Amino acid sequence: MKLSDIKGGHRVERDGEFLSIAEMPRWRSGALVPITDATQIDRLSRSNFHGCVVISKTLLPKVPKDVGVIVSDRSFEELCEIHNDIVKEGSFYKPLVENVIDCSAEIHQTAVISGKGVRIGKRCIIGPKAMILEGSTLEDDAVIGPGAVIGNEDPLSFRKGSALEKALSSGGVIIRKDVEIHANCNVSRAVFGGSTEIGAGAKFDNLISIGQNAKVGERSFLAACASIGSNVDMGEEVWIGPNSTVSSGVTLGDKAYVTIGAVVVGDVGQGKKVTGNPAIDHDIFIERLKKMR
Amino acid sequence: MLPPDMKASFVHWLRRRKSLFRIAKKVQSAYVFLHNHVHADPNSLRKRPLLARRTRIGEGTVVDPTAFVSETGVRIGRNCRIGPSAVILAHSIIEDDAEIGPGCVVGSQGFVLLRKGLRTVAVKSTGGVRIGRGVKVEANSCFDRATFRGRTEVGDRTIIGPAVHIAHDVRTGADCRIAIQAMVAGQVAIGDGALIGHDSSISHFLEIGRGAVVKDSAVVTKNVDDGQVVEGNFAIDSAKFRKFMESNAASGGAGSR
Repeated sequence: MKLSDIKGGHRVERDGEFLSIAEMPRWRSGALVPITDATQIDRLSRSNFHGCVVISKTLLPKVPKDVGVIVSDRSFEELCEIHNDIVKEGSFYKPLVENVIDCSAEIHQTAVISGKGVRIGKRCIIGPKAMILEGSTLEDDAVIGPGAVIGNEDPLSFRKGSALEKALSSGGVIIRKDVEIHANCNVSRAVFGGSTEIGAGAKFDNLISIGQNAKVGERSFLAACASIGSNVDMGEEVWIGPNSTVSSGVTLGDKAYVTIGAVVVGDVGQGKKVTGNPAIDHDIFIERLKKMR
Repeated sequence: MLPPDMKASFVHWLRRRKSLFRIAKKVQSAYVFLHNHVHADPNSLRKRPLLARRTRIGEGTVVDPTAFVSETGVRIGRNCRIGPSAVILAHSIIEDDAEIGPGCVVGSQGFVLLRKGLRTVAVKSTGGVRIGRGVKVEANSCFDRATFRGRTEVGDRTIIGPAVHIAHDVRTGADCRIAIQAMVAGQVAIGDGALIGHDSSISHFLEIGRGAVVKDSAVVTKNVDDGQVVEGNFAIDSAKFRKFMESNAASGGAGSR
């Protein structure tokens, strides 16, 4: 789709073509990306990005030459408006396909499977009262516990004038092989196309919530009551401690370790251990704690 | 198996001796391998598994039509109430006068995992859950099964708020109050009459004393004595915490840390 084809009177500075809509840091090449601060555009221009951006006028000079631009001071809200218009028009995003459910999957009689857009692989087990909603894909050997909801809509919303409007969900959820999700977890489906991804071999405890478009790394363990914000990018073998929170848009490196009750607001490097609210390096935290004790 | 309190001290003792800990890890993984193959296999030769018994529901108990109660291996006492969309799985015992709120899950799998290189071995839970007399549980709370033997126990007349997680092998005493969104990790023992504040977390293997108070959003990583009040992330004695905060505020220091 071309920027000039979008209706609704958006200010197109330079025309370009985009294939999807994405947010930082989980952008894809060929996507339309909203840029809210200078670090994001720096990161984008360093990483050989082709596509389009929605950006404020002050950051305009930093945009690479071959990238299409829509200028707006409220870049995220503008993007949401564009997205909602596109969804209502209905030709940009792929329509939901028929359900494909493998005969070797064990689905409990009280589980709810949405009528469209669900794929369930071999030997999956879906527990009582679990709900698999539109746009969810379960690969082989996934286990969904009792009461878990896969593919619920994210409450992502934006201000349009004085009213608050909800962004329409158009993406899905992909649950890779050997994932285990226990009781009463929520996994939101992505809003702007694409999908929330749960990496192969990840294990979830009870009452976990995953925001839209987040990526949980392969073989990661998430302990009870953890909540992962939207657009979180997670490496492999990460440990998310019980009752901890990871804010939206945070990147966690491979083997990062988030301890119990931590509130992660910034990026965590490879193999780093963070603790506290807001989370800081574990060793520094313990030193400070000793002063209190 | 050792009782949880003994196990806790044993694990701490082992951790200090690293070579022994490594051997213990190997023994543990071998044990888990055997456990998964022998106990969790439905065709195993285990004597009279609870699973085989038909579910019994006592007189005067109201089970909501939208709730799901496993057809085998559940025992529900008299005058209980099971809310809408609640799930009661096998190996659960619910005593008389208990109330289970809407969307609760009783008897789900515990979260005990071992990493073996790129492979993850999930320990199959084989224990059960016992919910005491007159316990009241609000919406969407979860109770995991005990890992090996015995039961995750919730003491009599305990009140549990919504979205609470009670992990495997936890034992809570009588008359406890556990507030909204609290998280009690594996093998914790909570004394009688303790109060667990809302959104608080209790790390695994710990013991919370009788009548202890864990304040809101506290993260408990050390044992709490009888009647002690703890606060903060990580939790320390409440009096100390308050004093530190006040002195910090007086000297113009930024925040608690």
